Amino acid sequence: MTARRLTTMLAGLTVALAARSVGAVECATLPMTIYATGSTAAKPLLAEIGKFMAGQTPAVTVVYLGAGSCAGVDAILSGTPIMATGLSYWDTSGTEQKCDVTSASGVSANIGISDVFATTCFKLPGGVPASVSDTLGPVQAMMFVTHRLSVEKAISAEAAYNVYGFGGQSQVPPWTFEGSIFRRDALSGTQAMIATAIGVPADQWQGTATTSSSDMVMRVGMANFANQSIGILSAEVAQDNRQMIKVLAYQNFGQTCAIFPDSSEMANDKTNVRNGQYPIWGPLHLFVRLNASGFPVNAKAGEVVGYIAGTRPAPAGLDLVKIEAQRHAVPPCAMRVRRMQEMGPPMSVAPTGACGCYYEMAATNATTCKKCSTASECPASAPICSYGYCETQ
Amino acid sequence: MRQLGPAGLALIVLCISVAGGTSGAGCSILLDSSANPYKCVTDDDCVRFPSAACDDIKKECVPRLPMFDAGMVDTGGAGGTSGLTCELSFDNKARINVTGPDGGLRPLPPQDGGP
Repeated sequence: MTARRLTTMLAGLTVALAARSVGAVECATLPMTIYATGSTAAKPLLAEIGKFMAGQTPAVTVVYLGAGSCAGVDAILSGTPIMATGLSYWDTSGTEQKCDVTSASGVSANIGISDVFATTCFKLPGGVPASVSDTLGPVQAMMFVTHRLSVEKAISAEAAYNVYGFGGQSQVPPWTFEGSIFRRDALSGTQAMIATAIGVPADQWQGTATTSSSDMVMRVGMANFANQSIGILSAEVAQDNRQMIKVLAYQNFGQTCAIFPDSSEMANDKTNVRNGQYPIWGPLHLFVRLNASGFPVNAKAGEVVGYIAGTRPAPAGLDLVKIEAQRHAVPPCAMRVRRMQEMGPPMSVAPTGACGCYYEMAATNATTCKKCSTASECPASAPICSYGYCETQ
Repeated sequence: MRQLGPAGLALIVLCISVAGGTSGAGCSILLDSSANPYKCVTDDDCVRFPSAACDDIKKECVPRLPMFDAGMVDTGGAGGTSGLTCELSFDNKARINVTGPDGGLRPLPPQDGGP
């Protein structure tokens, strides 16, 4: 995407957001505010952490604006201020509240959140600047979806290239009606990641625009012609709306087998994401600015990032593995692969403090792993006791 | 799966060279597996384990990734992997009606200013 086009889109987004009037408190008057913006997929996680931080002494308020992944990158790398009303924050009971930023100059974001690598949003020949840290968080899978009554079960990368590269002229039946081919926009992390996967630049997608993930669900799920409908969603949204839509298995370029992100269409185990078989996935990116010593400029923002990424021990009562499992994301400790660039080759990893068994239990309420209190209870084939289960490593 | 790069090759060559000389200390430290049997530098160090590869980050042998086509290989192990059979397939030849001049993907239409 060109910088000029993205800047124009971001400016339009800022104006649109600032134009809304909710009539809430001024965010700056809340106790010790931390501003986070970007991916909408991160909101449930932030809600849990926001609830916890609000109960700290002194209290910290996590204020969040869902604005799209690339807007999150832009907020930290370019310092584009937040100017909007109706931002979210959470009180000690976890109830979502709203506040406004009415200052003409806006406020600086402390955390930028993106489903995709910064280089997917912007041309960064030197990579992310040294003054910014990019911490990798839970993994999110992206997927193609269709109406729940569609007879279609799978789509290939080649077919998706034609559908989203040519829209109504795809010549790939049944996806040949522009009005039934739904897309997001170039700021969307879901669209940006899938764009990389299928080779259609995110700003060249054809089809009918939707305004949000929930709009996508409605448009696909209520399409007049079930078979012709197609859209894209993150796992979190897609799998929470199975009463309206269904996930299509995905067949990568040159392959002959289509694969679901889970072990089956209706499962929730993310087995094929965790082992790298399902291709369209990536870690959540958490961007913060660093000071001259290499530490987060805002220490509390660094703390929040550490909790989400799992690099900082979660406080008692904050079970992020369980939260992520229930939100259809995968914490790094449950992954057996990692990738260092968008849709790059997956590499084997042996996470320290593996939580695959516990994740499985939290996500599906079942696991074949052996429970344990200490490693002495574990067999040689899975000798490590971690998160209460015997793990292989 | 990660391929052995020039750096890895150079390291092995260096190790062989040093080990063949009067001092093998440098090499033996790098590849000593007595303390941690999973320690590795390259995938070659993991051949003593069935279907294992060297984790690029931790430098430990871990189960090798399954094949990425046709999804038919069981990665085994505890914690969420299982066998996979190919139950679904999208027939590109039958369903994609237009291809490029070389039989592959046709070029995307020219941009008209974008969204």
